Amino acid sequence: MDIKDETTMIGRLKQDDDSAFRSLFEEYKRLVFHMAYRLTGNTHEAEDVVQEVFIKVYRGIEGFREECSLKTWILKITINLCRNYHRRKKLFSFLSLSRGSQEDEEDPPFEMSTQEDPSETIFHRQRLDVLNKAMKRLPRRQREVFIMKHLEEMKIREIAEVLGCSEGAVKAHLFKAIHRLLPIVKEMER
Amino acid sequence: MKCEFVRDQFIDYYYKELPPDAILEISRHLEQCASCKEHYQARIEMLDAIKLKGPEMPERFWSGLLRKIFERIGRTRERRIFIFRPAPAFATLLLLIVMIFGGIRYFDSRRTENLIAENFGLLQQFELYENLELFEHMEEIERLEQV
Repeated sequence: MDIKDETTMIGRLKQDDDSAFRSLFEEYKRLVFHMAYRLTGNTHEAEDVVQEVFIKVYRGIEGFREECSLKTWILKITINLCRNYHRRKKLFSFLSLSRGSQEDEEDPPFEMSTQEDPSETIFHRQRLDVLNKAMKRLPRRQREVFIMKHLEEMKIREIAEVLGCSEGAVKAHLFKAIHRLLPIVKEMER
Repeated sequence: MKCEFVRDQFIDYYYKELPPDAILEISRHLEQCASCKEHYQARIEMLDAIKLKGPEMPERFWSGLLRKIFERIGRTRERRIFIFRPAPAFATLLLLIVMIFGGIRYFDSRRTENLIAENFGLLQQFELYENLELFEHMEEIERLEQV
């Protein structure tokens, strides 16, 4: 979405235009969902995060001052909600309410489209699980940077804007994440 | 170009986050240096292997999700009617103040009228009803009456 389209979209959103909101959802639903899925490791939680993100966007659009792009703003909201999810989860574990059940919660199998090869989907799913488990062992900031750069293919500049840090810091986190992740993945795949 | 420097740039090179001339220089170096090429190859193979797409959800998942969001937005819109808005709140407050003071003045004037009506006979007796200003000196008149 270019700047002109984005400005128009923001204007329509501020006027409570439902069709603009639908377009916004279509544009960012996958990015938000994948980001949330990778940060929470669970499709149900990711679904809840997507809902919360778009509700927050709807409620907050009037106060959005366009100091950053819509994408950056939406990703900031997504990351903050995922952090809250982790804090809540930690608190629940601490209070022994969940008894660790959430930590090992199994995700339901992906729904396959008719064109997909089931064996390939299962293989993809297994690799994704390995990657998710490996990513869980990374510090939070490294995990966020790795997801945005390696999996969502965002620019270093964009990531720095989302996380509110320097490009150098993003590169350092990415470097550390890759160096920590590769041996873990290698070990897990054995 | 030194091998150590090239290896430090591998990640930026892999993600194409370097200026075009730097990318070209590293590419040239990798063609010439077997050790760096092997080092780089091992890394990109692993990085490519974990470049996995997130789960693709069916269309009905997205339409269901959008419906839920719109339901919640609908509730927000209903609640917005009761959300505090400074300008209308100030106007309402002003209207209330005007109504209260207006009411007080109205009932005060009605009370004066009633008082006059109740004491009309007395006022007639004193032949004061034509000049109501004297009514303000009622206490003094009463005092004189007692004397």
